[in-house]
Amino acid sequence: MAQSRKVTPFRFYTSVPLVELTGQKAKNLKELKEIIEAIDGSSIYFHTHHYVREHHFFSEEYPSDFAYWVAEVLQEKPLGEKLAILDLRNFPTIRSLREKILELIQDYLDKSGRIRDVQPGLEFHFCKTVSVIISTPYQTSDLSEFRKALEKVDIHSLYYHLMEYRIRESGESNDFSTWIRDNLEKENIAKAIEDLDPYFYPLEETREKILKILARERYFERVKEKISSYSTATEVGKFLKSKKAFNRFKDGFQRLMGGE
Amino acid sequence: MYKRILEYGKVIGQQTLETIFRIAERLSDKKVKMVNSTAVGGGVAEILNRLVPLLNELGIETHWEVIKGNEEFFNITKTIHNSLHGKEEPLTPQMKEIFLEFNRANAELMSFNEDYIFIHDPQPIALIEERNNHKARWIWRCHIDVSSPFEPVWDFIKSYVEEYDVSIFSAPSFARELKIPQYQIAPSIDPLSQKNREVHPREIENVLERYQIDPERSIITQVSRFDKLKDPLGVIETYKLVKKATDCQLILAGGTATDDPESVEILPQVLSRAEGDPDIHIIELPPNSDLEVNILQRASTIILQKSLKEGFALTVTEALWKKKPVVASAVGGIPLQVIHNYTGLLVHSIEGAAFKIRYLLNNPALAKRLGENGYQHVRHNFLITRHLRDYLLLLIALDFPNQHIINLG
Repeated sequence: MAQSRKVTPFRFYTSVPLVELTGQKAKNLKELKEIIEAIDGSSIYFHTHHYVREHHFFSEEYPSDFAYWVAEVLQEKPLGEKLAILDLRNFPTIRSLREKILELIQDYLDKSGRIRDVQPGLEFHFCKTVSVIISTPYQTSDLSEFRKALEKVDIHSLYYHLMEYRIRESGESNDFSTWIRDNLEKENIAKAIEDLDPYFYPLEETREKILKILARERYFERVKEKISSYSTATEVGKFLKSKKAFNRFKDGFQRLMGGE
Repeated sequence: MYKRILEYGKVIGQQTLETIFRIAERLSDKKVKMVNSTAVGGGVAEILNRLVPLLNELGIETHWEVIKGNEEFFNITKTIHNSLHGKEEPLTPQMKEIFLEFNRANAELMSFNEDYIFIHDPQPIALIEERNNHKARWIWRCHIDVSSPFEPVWDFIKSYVEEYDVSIFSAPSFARELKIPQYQIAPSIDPLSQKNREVHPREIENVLERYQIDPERSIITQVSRFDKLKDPLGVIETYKLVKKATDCQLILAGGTATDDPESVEILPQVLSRAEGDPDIHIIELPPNSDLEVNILQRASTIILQKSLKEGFALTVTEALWKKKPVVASAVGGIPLQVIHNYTGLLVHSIEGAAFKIRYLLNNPALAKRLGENGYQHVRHNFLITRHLRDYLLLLIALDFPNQHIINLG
């Protein structure tokens, strides 16, 4: 469908990580907290995000290195659990995430009052990410092109536009939703993508979910076009434009999409 | 162009391969030199044999040179190797002098006109003395764990390491604090090599028949060199504990390092401990048994890696690639690969290993899920294409010091 307004094309980028070692390590909670206080933000980012990027299956228990180490290595399970359930979408900046992590550790230290060291060799090693961002050949100006490109780009591209963009822009939305909202004025799609929680699925599954949202939109667009092609002067046209017909299409679509 | 590398697209996906091409385009006018101490045998040579042709295919002219030395030199480098692993073997001033003499003699035979020089491991480390005579950037690629070295020897090596532009380690826990930037680049396996390619069921049947292993019953396998640190006696104890409750067979397969007295000592002990049990198969593999290793791993129900100390443990990577449930000790690079309860099970004792093996033998659905997750983990993180990509990214990052976001547009 031709767009009457001016659309800024959407270019797909991809972000590939290189891991830098800081040489800093913690053997207990106190040291962990001291290093988290001072270390580069890209280290906090790495230890809270690389699970989503590298582990393409969903690890339901410990989606962050801090949570895993505290629970499984230090055996401080209650704190590990609190660190694990932090909803990263609620932290628009690394600074706010760092503050929350520090607050949780300090609270726990205040209550438990114990500092336990891990065995040598099991320390927490701080790393950080260098993200190299590269453009892909895919540039899109409408939803149909967008959908085709989304099928083709690698998952690092999804990671970049859905997660890294949000952190870099300190925003609440993601790059896909922002473009769809600002350029195509499809608020329903922008919102549906925002409502997905990419921290809860492998990136491939997130891709499938977005493609489904786009397929649903395409289906409705086609149905709408078909209906408007019939004149209300005819019985068929009257029926097709009735609420009953609309509900039938909707039910049919839901069956098609497996109950969604 | 891109003939051989295109084959990897079928494994990692076309999009991921395209990303590698786009990164490589940025380096198409650059030249690279790789330097190590051996052309055949050992993990470093194995990786370079695969990586160097791929770099060239991507249009980055890459040369690989091997330093030369006599027995005396290589005895000294072995002392250095052992000391960096923690053994207290001091270097005398004379040994240091010989080490440097050989490095300098090699430097005279080599040119360093490339843009990037990768020096692998400590043997050729002093070639860095050449850096002021050339424009190249120098990268020290350390394949060994230097986290608990014999300090006097580490201090000697470190004085050269810190002359490099950057260093690379295989795992965060292998590194030390250094004045130069350090990056983590994990080693990798090649999915298309004889050791990891798909095999025909008939090939598996043939090998099992040759060793009289029953394909109908559960098989627990550890593939590793007969070496005390791989705990082969612990493997047999583990098997015996499992066998008390659940029927199974054990394969303990690997080579022996004839130049290593400890390795020569352990094998008779292993054979004696296995005596009288027809379900224990001790298989001494000659060098170049890659396909046989592949087949034994694929024929197994569970792969065990009960090492007391490890490097990165590429045998674990190979097992995960074959979708096998893995039970392994939490040492060296293993925890980077085996994420407890997701891609395998980590253990800390013989009893723990036996219990987890029994648990998996009785829960095939869980075993299958771990294997699937392990395969995906390796596919995304430990294949040679990721290794290649990381090297390219590192070369790019050298031009953007202290930046955590590099936008190439």
